[in-house]
Amino acid sequence: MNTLLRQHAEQQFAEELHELKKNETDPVPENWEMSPQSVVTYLMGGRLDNGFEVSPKYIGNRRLIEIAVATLVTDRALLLYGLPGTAKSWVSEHMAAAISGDSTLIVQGTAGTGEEAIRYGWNYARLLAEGPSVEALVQTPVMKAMQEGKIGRIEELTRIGSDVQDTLITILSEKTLPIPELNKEVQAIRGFNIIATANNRDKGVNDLSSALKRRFSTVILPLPETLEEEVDIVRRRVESFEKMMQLPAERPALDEIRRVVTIFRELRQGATNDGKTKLKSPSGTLSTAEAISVVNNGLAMAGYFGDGQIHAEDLVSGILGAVVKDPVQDKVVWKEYMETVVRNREGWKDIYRASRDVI
Amino acid sequence: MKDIHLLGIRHHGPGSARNVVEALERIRPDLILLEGPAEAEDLISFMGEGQMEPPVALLGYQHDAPQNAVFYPFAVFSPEWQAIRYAVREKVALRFFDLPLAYSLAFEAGNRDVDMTGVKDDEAADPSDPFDLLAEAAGYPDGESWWNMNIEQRKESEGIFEAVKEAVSMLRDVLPGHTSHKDLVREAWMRRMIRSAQKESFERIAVICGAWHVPALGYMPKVKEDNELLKGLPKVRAECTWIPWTYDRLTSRSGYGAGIDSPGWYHYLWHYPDDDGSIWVSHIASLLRQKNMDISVAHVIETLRLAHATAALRGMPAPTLEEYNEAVTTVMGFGDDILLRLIRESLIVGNRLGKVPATVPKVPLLIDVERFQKRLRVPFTAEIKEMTLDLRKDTDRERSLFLHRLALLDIDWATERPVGGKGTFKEKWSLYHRPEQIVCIIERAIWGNTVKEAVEKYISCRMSGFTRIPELTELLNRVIPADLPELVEAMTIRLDRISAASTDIIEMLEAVPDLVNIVRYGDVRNLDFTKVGEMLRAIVARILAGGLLVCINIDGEAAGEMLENLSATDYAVSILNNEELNSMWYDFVQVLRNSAGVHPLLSGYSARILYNKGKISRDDMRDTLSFYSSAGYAPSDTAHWFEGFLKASGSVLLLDDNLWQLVNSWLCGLSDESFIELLPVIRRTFCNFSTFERRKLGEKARRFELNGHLTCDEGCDCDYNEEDASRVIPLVGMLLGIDK
Repeated sequence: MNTLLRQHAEQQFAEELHELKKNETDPVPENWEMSPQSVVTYLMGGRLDNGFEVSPKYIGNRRLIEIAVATLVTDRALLLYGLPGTAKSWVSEHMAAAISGDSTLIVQGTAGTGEEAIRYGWNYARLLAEGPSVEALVQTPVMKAMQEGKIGRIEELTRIGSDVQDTLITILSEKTLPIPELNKEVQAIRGFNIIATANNRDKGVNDLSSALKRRFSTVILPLPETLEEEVDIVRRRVESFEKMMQLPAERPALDEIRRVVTIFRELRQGATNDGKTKLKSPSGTLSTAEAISVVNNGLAMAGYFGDGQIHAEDLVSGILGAVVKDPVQDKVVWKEYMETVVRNREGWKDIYRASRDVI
Repeated sequence: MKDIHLLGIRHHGPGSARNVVEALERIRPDLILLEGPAEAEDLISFMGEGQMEPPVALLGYQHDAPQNAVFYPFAVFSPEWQAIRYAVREKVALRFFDLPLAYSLAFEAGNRDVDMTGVKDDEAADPSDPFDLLAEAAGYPDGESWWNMNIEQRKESEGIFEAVKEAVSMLRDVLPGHTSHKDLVREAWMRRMIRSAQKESFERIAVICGAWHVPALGYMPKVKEDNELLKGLPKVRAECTWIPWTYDRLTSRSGYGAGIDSPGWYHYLWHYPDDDGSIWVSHIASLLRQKNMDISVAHVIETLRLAHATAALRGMPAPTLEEYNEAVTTVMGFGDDILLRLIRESLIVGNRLGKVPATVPKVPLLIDVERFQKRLRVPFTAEIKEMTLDLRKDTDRERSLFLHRLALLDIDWATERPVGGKGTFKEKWSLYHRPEQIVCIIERAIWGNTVKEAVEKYISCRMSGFTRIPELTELLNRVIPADLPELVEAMTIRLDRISAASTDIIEMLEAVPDLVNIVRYGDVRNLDFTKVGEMLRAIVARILAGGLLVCINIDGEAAGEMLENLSATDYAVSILNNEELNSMWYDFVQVLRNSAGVHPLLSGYSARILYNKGKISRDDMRDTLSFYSSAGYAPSDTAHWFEGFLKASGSVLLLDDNLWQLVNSWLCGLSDESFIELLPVIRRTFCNFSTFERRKLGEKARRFELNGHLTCDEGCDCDYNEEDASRVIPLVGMLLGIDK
């Protein structure tokens, strides 16, 4: 039994990747694991020629994924842009897994990410003992990706300081990483590329310089278009979570998921789904990812503290945590929503009551 | 059996056009039969002159009812256009073999009510695209993209017409309801024309028609059956001409039945069939640069590469418009399609207006309009154009006259916009041409052969239907700037007649502002409007005579409406500031103020007008105030009186100390009992003011004591530093021109 908390995409979906490679019919770019067409199939799901069913990883517009994969075929880097929780990192991980068979060459961008995290660092003990040498060099994921012709990933690119961001320019345009201390350079081999993600909600981010921007193709991942689409996403992710965590609770009924998603969508768009009532929107983004974690949370509550069935009480505390980010304003939003919408909605009495108990 | 080649096309498609040209060059026919009305055959010769520039349209209309019209638009990438060009170039006989306009227009006239747009509708029976079925089978999103991918963007044209025929035959079998009765009649006529061509000495006949008709023409039923269909068709007299067309009107969103989504893209495909997209993307880049976007050559290269990579990924031989759009969004727009929307009109639709040689037969009115347009350099353009005219310049004044006249004919090409800034010598127009306007001009052609004549007759006819004074003055107001003295004279006479016969004082009141406007306009334009001036005086005299009657014994609602009229008239009169008129008007107002029975709202307003003009002294006014607020008056009347007296004058009260002191001292002079009694009434008046005004009024009132005197003349507001102030004095003196 595997005891890892979470497996990498290429481990979890190893079988699918293997089948896709086996059934390859289209030309495969150099150093890619499979053809661009197969990468799209891996992400969007589909049935292979031998009848093998590939599960969809991204639920949404196929054309966006096609554009993203086509970008990586040309040697431009890809920037996935969008609100928090729109599956940017998820798509990036799966693309890297499908293209290079390795999604682990990742740099997490933070305000404190330095140049040495992107280019290279030094092992100071060795540096002092031996002087500058290749052995004393600490390779970064980006450097490894260049040497091995793989996809390097940078998460939250815009959180990184502008000066550090710009070290990517040479890497992306000249495909080389100079090491002046050793009078050497690392030249990227074919197959190397960068997938970066960034979200457009955070304040105080460092916008990309236009020189760097020009080296990225930008694909904006939108919020799910319809209720059905969003419910589908939540359901799939919750099921896989359930499998992974071996929760004792029963799988949640589709209706429960639908209710959570409905609440999230209505608050997010500032109007009820039937368009009849105007609502205030809370300060949080209420992304699909948060809806997923609310249901997971409810599942765990029901499994360990409840009777194994998901009830409104198990969900409400999670929803409340997602909605009420600002204890004053968001609470008003939530109460208003409860009183004007939930209270009168048929079959939603339990949520209303559960919420009154908590708040 | 003679050689008949059926070439099925889509009306606007660069691929179809190319295929047709190739086919014609291979077949070398001695007769081309083209889908188009027989009447237009005389017009073919104009195509050779080289002055015609697509997009143009064949306009067919019913002689006695021009609004019943059909268009056959042609773009440079239309197969029909290319076929005609081929025929003219190679001197091959060409005939239009569609149902003649004489029948089809009669058909339309019987079929539907008058429809101004009158755009030729190919698939009337069922709005859905029959090719959707094929698209579904082949895995395309819709029929349009199926056709684009398989027919228009195909490089190989071998056997394509046979394939189209086969596909459409199948569709027609499956969807019998898709072919309307009119289509069946048209096809019968086409077959008849083919038969008669066969009897002549032609060897190779090329038949070019919409793909949908191909199966029906390939199979020849008995002559009798066709004759049966064509028997007893109604007929009208039809006219035909070429008119310039725009790409905008070729799009399907403009309501054109055989419309296409992206004329600009087709234009490009036709002109650069072998381009790999670099011309298209460079074109996008240059359009974006015109909009001040920083787009480098590197952007262009990368967009192109991404478009090709995406197309390859999707298994297509070449990128389509979709791929280019997506690539532009991703590379140039950083994921956002705002950039693309910015240039959508000029890129995908393409602002392009065709040209038609001057020798094409046209209605005289249209020729006159074009003559003016040429002389005054205001041509039809495909995009919306803003134009500011300075009436002090001769050309601009003539332009203004011309535009005003066209507007009078209800041709909606030029619309006047309100103009900012001082002075009345400026006019702003917005010009937006749509091809339907040509139809409108042709429609108006029955009124006269020149613009001037047509306007005069058209307006005279409209005018005779008017019975209300304001309608007439409103129209007169529009006629004045068009400089048509005879018409103005006729209208003045008509106005005089109506107003003499009219007993409706309110109508007359409504007419005064318009008339004042006209008289003032006369001053600006050096036109003589003494007639209108006399008219105005006559109307005011009539108001004077009968006006009182409409102001007495009326309810609050009627008084409110009357108040609006009075205030508009007062405004107009004081703008004109004509001594005679002033005295007449104020006499009338005086009567209103003094007469018993006049609604208090109006009498209050009259008192205010007179007080403003200094016709009543302040003491008088104070008496009037206490008179109307005395206990003998019903509280509601007092309330109305004050409402009229202080109508919309919150700010005036604030700024005009004269009025303020009057009201303030009167209010402070009230005894406690009467104050308490009046309080609700005053409140009612004041609550009509805005919150801001009320707050300011309250602040102002704080500075006064209850006896109406200022509490602190100096000190509170006049807290200034002697020394600082004295430093400013010399500069102020210099500005005012006072020495030292």
